[in-house]
Amino acid sequence: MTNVKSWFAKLVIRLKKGLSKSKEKVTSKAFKFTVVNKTKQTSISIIRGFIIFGLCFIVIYPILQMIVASISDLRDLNDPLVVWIPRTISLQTIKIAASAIDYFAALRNTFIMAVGVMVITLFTTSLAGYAFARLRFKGMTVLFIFVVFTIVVPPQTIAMPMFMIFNYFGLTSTFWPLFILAFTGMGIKAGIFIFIFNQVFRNLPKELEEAALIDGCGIVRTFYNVMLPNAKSAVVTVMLFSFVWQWNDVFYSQLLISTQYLDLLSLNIAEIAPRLTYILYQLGIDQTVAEGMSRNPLVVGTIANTAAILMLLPLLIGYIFVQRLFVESVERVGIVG
Amino acid sequence: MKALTLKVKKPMSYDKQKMLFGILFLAPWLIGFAGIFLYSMIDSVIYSLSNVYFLGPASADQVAAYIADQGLVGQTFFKMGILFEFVGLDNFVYAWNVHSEYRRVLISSMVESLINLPVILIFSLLIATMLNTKFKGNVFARAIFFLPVILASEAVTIALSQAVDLQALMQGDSLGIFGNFQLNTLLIESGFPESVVEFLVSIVNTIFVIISLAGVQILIFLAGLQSIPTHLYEAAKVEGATPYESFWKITIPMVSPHVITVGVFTIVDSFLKSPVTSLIIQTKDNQQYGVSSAMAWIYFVAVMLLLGIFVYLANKGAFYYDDER
Repeated sequence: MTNVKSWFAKLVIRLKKGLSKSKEKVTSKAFKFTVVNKTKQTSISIIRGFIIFGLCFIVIYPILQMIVASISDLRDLNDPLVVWIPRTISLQTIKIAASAIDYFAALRNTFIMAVGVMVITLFTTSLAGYAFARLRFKGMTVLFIFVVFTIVVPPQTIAMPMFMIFNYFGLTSTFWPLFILAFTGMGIKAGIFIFIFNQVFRNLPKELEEAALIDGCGIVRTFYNVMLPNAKSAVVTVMLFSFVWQWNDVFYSQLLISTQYLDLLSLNIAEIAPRLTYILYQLGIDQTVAEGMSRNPLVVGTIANTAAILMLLPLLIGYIFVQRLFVESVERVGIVG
Repeated sequence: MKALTLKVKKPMSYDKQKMLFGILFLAPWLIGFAGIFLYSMIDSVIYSLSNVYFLGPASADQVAAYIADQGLVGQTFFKMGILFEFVGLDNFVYAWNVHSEYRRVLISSMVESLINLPVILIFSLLIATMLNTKFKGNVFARAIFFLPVILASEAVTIALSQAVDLQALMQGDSLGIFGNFQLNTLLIESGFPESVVEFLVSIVNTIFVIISLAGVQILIFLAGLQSIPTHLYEAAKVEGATPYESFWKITIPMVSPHVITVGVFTIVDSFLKSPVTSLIIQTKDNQQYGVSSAMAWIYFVAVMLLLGIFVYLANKGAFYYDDER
């Protein structure tokens, strides 16, 4: 009883206090203002939450769909009762897709190629970017305009003669065309990387360089030991982008490397549909059934999907680990037009 | 005294050293630019003006025999196993007037990139502004938004377009597992007029495409937004500006130089992904080397035209914050 009494008393006191307080506040303009502001803020954040959640859902939805389709049995695809959770989980689709794109050989090749291109691109573009930012000599501005030119000229325009050069030297069945392109700063969007490095090096304080010079560093050591570690953000960005773009690239690979000699994930996936009948037949499926299957758009679609997941899986796993670094670093780069 | 008598090798002056290393550091790029880029540009002009016969290594007599055999009338010359027959602008005329697809594909992809440009610009700016504010799950949302940058792969698009139209998958016809995104059915059942629903669904469907096209652009805008000095916002707040006003009066002008970068990137990127690319490669694979180069040059002129117009307009509207540092 006493409990209830004291509780009631407290409530009354609180109500009185509250009422008196609110009276004060309602009469004062400031209170009105804060109330309006608060509701406005919460409503804005709710709307923002809705939009961001919705957009995230739209981005993730097809990826989830692809994953579900890849682990479910082929028969479940036509089953209208199956939504999200497959009736039987089978690795059959994954097996077919993996052999269709010759997964492990292609994965190895693609990995070697992408890592090689990444390292070489980093080397060339960082050097060039540093030269453009700090080692300026007469005529540098003109050269920099040429860099912008290489960004803007579509690679299709110069694709044919480029192919002819490498074909003439008999390099089109090896990785060398891509490595040479990377080394000479003509690879995939290499101009943009030079641009980024130039921007970042230019924004580093000059005092850093002067201090290094006074302490007896040569230009090479200043670059390697002082400037490059300070441009870590640009290094991360360039490495990631060159790796990912090379991994996903079709244009340069298709042009400069023939699939007959080298398996690459992106090229094999692009050719998956025409190859499917043969692969199914090779897997021991009856020829008529195999032909029927490879004419069914749903089956082909699912297998292409699964192959796509297999191709992107290493990227996805890598992204989970470096995502934080990536997002942070890119923001700090500060590309200015 | 001894130190004075020592012969000191006079070191190179710092400026000279700088220039030497500048050239050294630029050397790989210079070689690439002169040896591959410039060479290919000039070569591709020659290709586009001539018929190209791919002979391989051959002696002068063999070449002469081949010319007589084929009955080539134009001026010819032989280089690196390739025989060129000068035909003037024939290849351009062929690509533009005779080729069954080229003009249509080029014009449609130009129109498409013109339509996509403002959409992508506005969308990526809005998303960047939104991601730039602090809220719970900030990092998580950013990570998801940049997934399309990682996963945007032409190869996958090509593979899927061979099998089923990707759009059909997204719209979710009754295709079992693929057909469970029943937004439109749900909305129609709940009594919305069908035209409104269709409009909404079409927006939702294009959003995925736009996000996958706008990843890098969002990154550039985010970088731009974070480089805006905060004292501007503080001053505006003290003077009594609402967030809405400071967005229009501070954020937009400060971000406007980035619009050029983003726009140029968008135009170049959208052309790189357009069907024109595959058409040019296809023509090359059909041994029509001259026509393929001519197509590439027409395409180049089209891109430059769009870029020129865009940069001219954007430069007029851009605001440069004169921050001497």
